[in-house]
This record gives sequence, structure tokens and C-alpha cells, in this order.
Amino acid sequence: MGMYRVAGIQTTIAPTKTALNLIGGTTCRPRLCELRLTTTGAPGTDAQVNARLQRSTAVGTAGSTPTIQATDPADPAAIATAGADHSAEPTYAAGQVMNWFFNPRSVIQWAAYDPRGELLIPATANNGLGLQTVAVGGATGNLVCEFGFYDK
Amino acid sequence: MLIRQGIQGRARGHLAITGPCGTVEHETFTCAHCSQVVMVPHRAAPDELGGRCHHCDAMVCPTCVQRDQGRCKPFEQRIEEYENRHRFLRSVG
Repeated sequence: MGMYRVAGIQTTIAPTKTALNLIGGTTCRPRLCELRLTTTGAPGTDAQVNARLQRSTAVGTAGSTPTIQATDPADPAAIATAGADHSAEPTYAAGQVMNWFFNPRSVIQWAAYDPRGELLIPATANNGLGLQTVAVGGATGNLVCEFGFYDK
Repeated sequence: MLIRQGIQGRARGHLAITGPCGTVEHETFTCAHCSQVVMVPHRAAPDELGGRCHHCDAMVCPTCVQRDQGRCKPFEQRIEEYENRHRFLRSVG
């Protein structure tokens, strides 16, 4: 079981847009254990950004497919895949896994330090965890997001 | 302190928000029944955080405390049922 990292950028932050979607495969259940999120560009105002992590059941159309890097170069390539900067949004299940309100100048970091705190993605095609903006507040520029996960 | 002891070693996580006014840090826990990450505010009242499922011996979020009413269905079991349903649907075309 290796650990992997993937980063996605939502160019020109906009509401109800997905910055990064981590998608599992039929043979593995990825476990999201780390997440980092911030915006780039000088904020217009200090109005809060609202973003949330949700479970996706269809992948939508990604503008780019970021490369997933293994933290140990000896590990095999990840089975999970990722999509970023979506032009057609993934389909999300009702409810949210995490929800944040933060200043556009902020950096958010979350890490699970107990295995039961990690977020499981089902071993079902096209299911994943996506990070979507709800409201952009005073943010300008890009929304930058990074996931750390185990692929097993 | 009771809260910290209560969630010690139980699906814990750490949330740090670094902004213009400094860094705010919170403990989090992941609900064992729905996998929602719950932030534990400083000095929060324990009954506002949800509760502990005595069947799976894990923390659950306030929504699941109300919805499940003492019944236990761990998230891994939900995922397995979901995967099995999809495997079945794929197998029948």
C-alpha cells in the first residue's frame, strides 16, 4: 500500500466548480488522508470562500488530468485517477464530507492521523471524492488543491 | 478534556486554517456511520458533537445519532453493500 499525492488547479475560481476529483477504480479503495487547499491571486475583498468535499458518482468532464505521484518512487503507479478544473461537473451524492468557510488568503490543511479517520472511496467505477467551490467570496485567481491518499 | 479523551485514537484528524489573523487549529473526527468529518470546536459541549456508537465503539456525527437511533451500520458496511449492488448491476448488464 503506497501513499500518493495529486494536485489540481481550478483556473479562474468560480462558484459550483470542481477543482479536483479523486476517482477510485474497481480494484481498489483509495483512502484520502491529507488535504490542502488555498487560493492564488490577490483577493478582491476579505469575503469568505466556501468550498466542500463531496462524494461523486460520475466523473463529469475534467479540463485536465493531473499526474498522481507516489511518495515512494519504488511504488507502482496508482490505480486511482484524478480530474481537475472541470468543464462539466461530476455528479455528486447528497450531503458533504467536509465543508469550509475561509478567508481567500488562508491555507487549509486537514490530515487524518488515525486510520479510521481516513475517507474511503468505494471500489466502484467512477466513484470518488471531489472538491467543489460553493461561493468564491473575495477570491480571485486560482483555487489550488492537493490530496494525499493511500491506494489499496 | 473529556472530549479529547473521548475521541482519542478514534478516527481523529487535525484541521489547521492559516489566514491573515494567524492559525486556527481544530481536532476533527470522522463519523463511523456516514464518513462525514466533524470539526471539534474549542470548548464544545460533548452533546453537540454527536455521540459514540456502542456497537462499533466509534464516534458518530449528530446527524447519525438522530437518524440511526442506536442502530449500527458502519460506513465500511455501507460501502460494501454499494459495491455489491454495482457489481450485480454490471453482471446483469
